[in-house]
Amino acid sequence: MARLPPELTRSARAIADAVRSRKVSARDVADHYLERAARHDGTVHAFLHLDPAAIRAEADAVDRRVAAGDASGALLGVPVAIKDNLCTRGVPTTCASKILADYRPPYDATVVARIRAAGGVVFGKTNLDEFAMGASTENSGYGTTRNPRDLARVPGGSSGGSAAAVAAGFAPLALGSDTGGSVRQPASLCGVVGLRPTYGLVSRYGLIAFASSLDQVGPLALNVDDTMLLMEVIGGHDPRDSTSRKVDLAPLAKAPAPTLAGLKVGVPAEYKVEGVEPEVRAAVERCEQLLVKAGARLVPLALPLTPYAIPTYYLVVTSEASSNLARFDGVRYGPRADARELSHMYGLTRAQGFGDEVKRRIMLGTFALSAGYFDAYYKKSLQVRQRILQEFTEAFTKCDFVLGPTAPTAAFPIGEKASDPVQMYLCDVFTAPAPLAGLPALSIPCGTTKGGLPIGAQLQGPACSDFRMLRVARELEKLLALDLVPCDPASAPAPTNGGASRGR
Amino acid sequence: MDGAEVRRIASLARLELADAEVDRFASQLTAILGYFEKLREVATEGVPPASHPPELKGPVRPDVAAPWPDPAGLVNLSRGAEGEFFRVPRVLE
Amino acid sequence: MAAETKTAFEPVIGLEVHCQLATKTKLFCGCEAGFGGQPNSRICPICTAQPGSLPVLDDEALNLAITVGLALSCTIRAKTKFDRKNYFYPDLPKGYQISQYDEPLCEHGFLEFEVEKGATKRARVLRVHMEEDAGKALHPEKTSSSLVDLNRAGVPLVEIVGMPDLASPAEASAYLQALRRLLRFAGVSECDMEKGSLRCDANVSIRPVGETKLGTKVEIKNINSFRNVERALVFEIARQTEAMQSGGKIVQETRSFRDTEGTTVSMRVKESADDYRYFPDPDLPVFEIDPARVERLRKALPESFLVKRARYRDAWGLTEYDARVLTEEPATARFFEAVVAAGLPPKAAANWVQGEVLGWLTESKRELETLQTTPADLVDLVKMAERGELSHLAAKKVLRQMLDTGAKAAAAAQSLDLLQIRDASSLGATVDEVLQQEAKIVGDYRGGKETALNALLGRVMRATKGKGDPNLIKELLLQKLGPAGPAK
Repeated sequence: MARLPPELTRSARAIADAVRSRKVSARDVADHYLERAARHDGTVHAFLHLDPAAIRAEADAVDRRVAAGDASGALLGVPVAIKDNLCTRGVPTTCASKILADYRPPYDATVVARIRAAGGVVFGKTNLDEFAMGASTENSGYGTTRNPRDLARVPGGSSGGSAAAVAAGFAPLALGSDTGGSVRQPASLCGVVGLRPTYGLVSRYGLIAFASSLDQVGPLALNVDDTMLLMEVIGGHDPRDSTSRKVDLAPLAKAPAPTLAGLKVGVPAEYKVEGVEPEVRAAVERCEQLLVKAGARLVPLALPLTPYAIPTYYLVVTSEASSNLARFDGVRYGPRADARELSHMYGLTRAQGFGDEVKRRIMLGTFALSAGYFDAYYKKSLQVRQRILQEFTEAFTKCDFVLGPTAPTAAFPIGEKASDPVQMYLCDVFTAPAPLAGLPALSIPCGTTKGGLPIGAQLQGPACSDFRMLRVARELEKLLALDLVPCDPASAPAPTNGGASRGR
Repeated sequence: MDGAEVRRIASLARLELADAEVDRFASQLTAILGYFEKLREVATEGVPPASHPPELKGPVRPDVAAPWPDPAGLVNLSRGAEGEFFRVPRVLE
Repeated sequence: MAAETKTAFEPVIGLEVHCQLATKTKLFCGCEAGFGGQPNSRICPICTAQPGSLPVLDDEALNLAITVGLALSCTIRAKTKFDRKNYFYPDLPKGYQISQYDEPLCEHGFLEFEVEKGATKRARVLRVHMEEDAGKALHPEKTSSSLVDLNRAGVPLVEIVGMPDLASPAEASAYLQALRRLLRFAGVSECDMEKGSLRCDANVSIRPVGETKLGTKVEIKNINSFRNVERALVFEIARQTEAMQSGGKIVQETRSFRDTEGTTVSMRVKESADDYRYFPDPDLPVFEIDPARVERLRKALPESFLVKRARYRDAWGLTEYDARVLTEEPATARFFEAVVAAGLPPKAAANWVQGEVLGWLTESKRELETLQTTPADLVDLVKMAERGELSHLAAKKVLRQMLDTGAKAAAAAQSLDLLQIRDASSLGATVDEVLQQEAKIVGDYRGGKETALNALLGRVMRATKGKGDPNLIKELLLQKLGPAGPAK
């Protein structure tokens, strides 16, 4: 039985160093995580696909590489779980949807290729809300994922599987995708770190599109340092993605560490509203106090457009999604319904293949774009979006970063919000604004509720301030002094029988 | 949004809905659209609608052929692969 | 019932032309964009719309599209964007076409074309925009399936939208011919309707003569040859006129041209067919068109055929007819100009190219592009004749040989053994031989008959199989015989 010592299981960077210096083999590392997943994922259901033989083969290849003298690769031997909306060549990629059942992409997403090139081991495909549409992973077409901290509760979404995998120690690193909070909110609910990069800093090539002008691939890890490690590997210009920024990542990643003394931390009044649970508010205020003690200055901010971010967000994403999902028709890939006539085949394939939330959003988007409604809905949302960007630009002349809660509540019980779409949408109140403005945002664990549920604090920064923000977060992380280790799902409160496990 | 409108939208989006679904979606979509009305409160005269940050410019690539090594493999991803073609049920003219 | 005089109607026509840009690759991916190929051989994850794939614009397509705009005297936008046109069809893999909706690359231009000999007209071009082509869906008879080939999916097109400025089917045909020639001369497209690199839809309405308001417009699709443009328009105008004159109404619709019947028929209106829900493509940020690029393309714009024609006529003194023939196709003009550049005066070049080369091409059913004989080869031949190495008649024969076999001038002349003999000593030997053999004619000459010289000349020519240089032979004869009359 392969067991890694605690100093390795709490740090992906330490694993890479240990593999590099041959203190541990990539195969031992893989076996450790495979064994944990085998033991606990039956309950957590973080993975949709996990192929131990393939993983072991990849790990063995890394070991051969090291033995041959090639110890390059920042992620040498480190397992990275991949959200199932990222293409992995020859390996099932379903977006947690029936419409892509058994789809095996003919190519790797750019971020996946970069992980492989850096010596990382692709470790399974994780569960998500179908096509990344949701905030709880309950919309998965293949059953929900449970929060490893409390198996009766949601892990958040849409990257619930990735956040749960890292939290439960099934992999030290994971990739998720964030469109309106889908990396940050599950990170917050599961007690791990999640970064949403500046739009364009990480390639979208091979990320199955939900909303193209908002989607970004983001890293998840137990701590800020590991998050930075993964970001350095996946980020940077990709000529295959026309929305990829032509920014050289190296100088950004090598910039000097900012001190907290004199740092101006924006605190918006709109983030202290009624819907935020008291314990969440208290945890974030503790962050404020720690920062002030270290010499930072709190700057009160007004971000009056905050409440409008959600309707803006939902109009933009549903419009783009209605178009992005038009290709799923059964003609060139995926299952197809039995029908004599083409329109019928399209209609049936899509009705059978898509879940309810996906159908709702496709219809909303189709409506928002259709003749007669375009100006009132879609065009209006893009104008409000511009104003939200202007509001942030204004704010960042007054402060270096904005601080607030990631989500208004801690993890909620499975089934609680599933039947009320609008309730579910409100989970995104703090995470929707940054994507609309193309800005980077990060969630780090900042405490727990009395019941032991994780609470996340969110930092938001100006465009391309990702690494500076990560460094500030690393300082805050030290001040918070939380024990950032994987949890053992077996010790979480047992799930109640009423827990919904179907996404529909 | 009433049932007729839902049917029109569903048809545009090629989603064949059952009757019970149409009613359910109609009430859900009406609620969601009602929530979207909130945007009317935001002043937007003269604000240019934009999808991308202004510093992002469209790139071009050189006109050099880069053939995909396995086109047959792409056809074979289809459940309706028939020899070299993608087969679909007849389009009613 | 009093007999009513029928209202006279006039047609109003505008053409929408799609033209494939002559790039190596497709508009948004690196697949080859050529014609033909095995079905589904020129495809990749991007043009088959695999999940996660993304478009990247081809640089040369942008250049060629701007060139089309410049050739049509359009204004080129400083910034351009792409929009999605959303609809479902099996030859449209993404479920949307990437096109340009409200901010097309080029606008407000015109095409000057000849309506009849000497009379030109200017038809306005509303816009030129870029878009990707769809694939092909085949509907084999007696099956319940359609077959989809995505080779063409993603091929770069420009759509050239003409205003309704054309007043007759003949004018429409002339416009299309002129447009085709313009695009070919600009080097942007093959414009071959058979290969699908040029497609034409027509918008046609009628109105009472003298009326300025436009009537209800009908769109005609599926016109697949130049001849059919006129046929379709003639039928449709008659159909609309008949309808209006019998008190009916024109329905705004799309009709399809039926080749075998020569008629247009209404296309079944697809449900909600026209709500394309255009919106800016979020995978493609706004493109800034560098003014330096536009300037470079403007400078590099090849001379239009109208300008060439005028230049050949006015600066080089060619006839109108010759100027027309030589500017029919860009390859012809290129060849002709290269012949001039290689050293032939324009009129001579025109005679040889137009008179001989083009004639041979028509006879042999060959294309100029496949010719092995180069302009330099032709000039070599003509210079040989000028130097007297070949008679003019022989030169024509040698040219034929060159065109047939690809041989160079000297080699061809050798192989046909047509080189004029100019060597004085060998000719002299032949002359001596003939003088010996033809004693009678020599005697006539000595007797004062000057014309006997010609007979002797003829004999020597025969002896040299026609290759003797007649001037030299005459010279040698005179040398040897002296003037007519008794030897001194």
